[in-house]
Amino acid sequence: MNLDKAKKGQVVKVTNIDNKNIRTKAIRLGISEGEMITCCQVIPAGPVIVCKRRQQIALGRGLAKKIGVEPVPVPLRQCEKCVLSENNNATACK
Amino acid sequence: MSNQACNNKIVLIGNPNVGKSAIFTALTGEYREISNFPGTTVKISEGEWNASVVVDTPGVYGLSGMSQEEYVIRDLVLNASLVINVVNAVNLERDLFLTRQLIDAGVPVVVALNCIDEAEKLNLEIDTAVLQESLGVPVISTVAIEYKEVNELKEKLLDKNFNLSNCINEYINKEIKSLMENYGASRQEALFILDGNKDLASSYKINDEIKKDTFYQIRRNEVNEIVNNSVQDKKTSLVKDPLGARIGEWLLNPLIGFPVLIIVLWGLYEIMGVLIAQKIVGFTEGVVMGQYYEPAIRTLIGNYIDPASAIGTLLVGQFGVLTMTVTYVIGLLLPLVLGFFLVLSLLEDLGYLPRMAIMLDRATSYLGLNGQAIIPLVLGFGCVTMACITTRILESQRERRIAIFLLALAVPCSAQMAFITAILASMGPKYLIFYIIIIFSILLGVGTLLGRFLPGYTSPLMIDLPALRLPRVENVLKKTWDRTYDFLKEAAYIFIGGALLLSLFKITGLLEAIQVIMQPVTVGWLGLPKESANAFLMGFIRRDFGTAGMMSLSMPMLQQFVALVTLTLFVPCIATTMVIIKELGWKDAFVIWPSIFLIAFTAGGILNKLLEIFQGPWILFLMVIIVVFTLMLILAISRIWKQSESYL
Repeated sequence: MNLDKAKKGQVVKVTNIDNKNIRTKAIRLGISEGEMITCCQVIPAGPVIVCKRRQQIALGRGLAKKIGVEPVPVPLRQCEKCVLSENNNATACK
Repeated sequence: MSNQACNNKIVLIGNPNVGKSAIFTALTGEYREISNFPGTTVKISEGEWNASVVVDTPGVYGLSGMSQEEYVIRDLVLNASLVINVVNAVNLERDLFLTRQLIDAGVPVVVALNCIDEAEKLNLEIDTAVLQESLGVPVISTVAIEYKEVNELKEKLLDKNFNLSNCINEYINKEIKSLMENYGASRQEALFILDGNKDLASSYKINDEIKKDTFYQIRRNEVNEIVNNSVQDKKTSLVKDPLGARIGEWLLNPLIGFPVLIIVLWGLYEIMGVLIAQKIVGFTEGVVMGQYYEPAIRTLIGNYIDPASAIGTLLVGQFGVLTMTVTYVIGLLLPLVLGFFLVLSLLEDLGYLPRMAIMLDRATSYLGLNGQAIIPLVLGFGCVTMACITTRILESQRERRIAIFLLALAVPCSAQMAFITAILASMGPKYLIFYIIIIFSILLGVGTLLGRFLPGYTSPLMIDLPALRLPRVENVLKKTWDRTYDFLKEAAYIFIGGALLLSLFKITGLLEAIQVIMQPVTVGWLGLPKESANAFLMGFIRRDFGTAGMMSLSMPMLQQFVALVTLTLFVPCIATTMVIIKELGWKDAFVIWPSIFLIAFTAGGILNKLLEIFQGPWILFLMVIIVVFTLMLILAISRIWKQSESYL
């Protein structure tokens, strides 16, 4: 699936970023292939906001469509914020 | 700058929003000078500390030359005797990427771990010793926003023994070495070639594909490892985030974010359009300048010089340097510009602007722009010239062209808006709404067409969100004043020059001649009195100047309305034109300028003809329908010819 389909609060693992330029730009900000990110907000028909640790990054809808992710099986409770622990397992949901 | 100072140059560098300027101020106390970097308009500030020149730079994410700023800063870094890399303790994963790049570049680096207090509030524990060890350079915690707690940093800087880090990734080192050996590039050059600098690569005739993304990925993994080893997140579900972080979250929630956005925009209008543009300016311009200053100066000058003489006209005539110029600059521009920059600096320091960009990303995508373009577009309501410079934050040439075109065409600057609101206020709310619909439709229509048909790509939105912070009063005030001063200083010269030119035209009778030449357009096509040529002529110099000129002509309401619309769209002022030439080049400027000219007069003329044909009480209603219909038509046509979506 692609990042634009992610739901709010879902933890996903980035599988591929197709475009080379977008990939390098994303790596600079901390999103690279294999990385776990939390989808922390989705603006309807607008950008997707992902969180990695304390950093929030907004990605335009068209861009999110180009980022392949796979959902990480974390109990999808009504958690506002999932904090990633050091070993990259999603824990500490409210 | 003395030679000795040149030898000792400390450059502050860091990602946006990490507190570079705060460290700069804490070190040097004062901005010695803020100047544009030679040949560019990248703002570089210099100060002095302990016989060293300290340079503050705009925030960048790297030195790969992805933007003009990155090039400028890269050169500064390479010539520095020491680089202070300011990083935000909360966002180490992002910030250390640049740190690694600096270390790899082989320049002496001291890392200032800033905002350590914010990290503590968020229950992040950072092991400075581990960080220092894995980076191989000194790491010093600072809380620069309090302008204290930089003593440790100062002590370290006095130390002056900065060894280069030897913590360099093996793979990167190997690649750099191979480039150095095979092509004879210097170490730093080799690094930047790896970083994707095509100019350097071609100058060394390197044809192999440089795997920039592999290189980046390795650096990313390295940074992630460092962060994993040195940062511990102690946050538990029981601990709440600080209020600022929570409000930041709420603002991103569409249910809260959109209403807040509307309130902010409405507040902006209330403050700028109503309070300042009408009430305050009404007092400063109408009462202080109009009733007291102008009569006084006329009497005073009249004692020595005949006001009807040539010099008298230049000084205190209709376009007098001592009358009109002073009134406009002090009575009108000063309160407006001051107010606008105050509000803008507040929003900026609060960290609200990127959130605005996110909320509006969808809307601006119709114009072929991403949400970030909203920042120059909003800035345009303050000063179009400055906003055109700000379009640099947009990544592609195409986006810059669209944004600058729209700014130059349909965004009235604060000074012009003052006159527009004043004229519209006298006409009643019906005209105000109609005016907004017309201008907005033209903005949307032209933007849509540009977005669809202009070649190139639009870069997608990819921004990181700074934390919401309570702005510091002195910081906001200082910024406001600096910007206002810069703006007025420039505007005053142009106003004086413009006023002198107009007075000369008047004295020599050239003004009359131009009025006659322009008659077919002004009288025939737009249905305005021939004196309106003055206003257009003034509009060449500054748009608001033109609108002001329109105010002094008496004509029927509908004519006034036509003039208002035409002048809003009319060509950008001299300052903006110069910035457009500088930013986009002569070629673009030569296309943009006449296009705007044409659009303004076409729209004004059509409006005039429609007003002639349809008269009566339903006229405005009819016009709105026609405008909206035309807009829909444009949108529909664009949809059919939709370009395939392309990113980079």
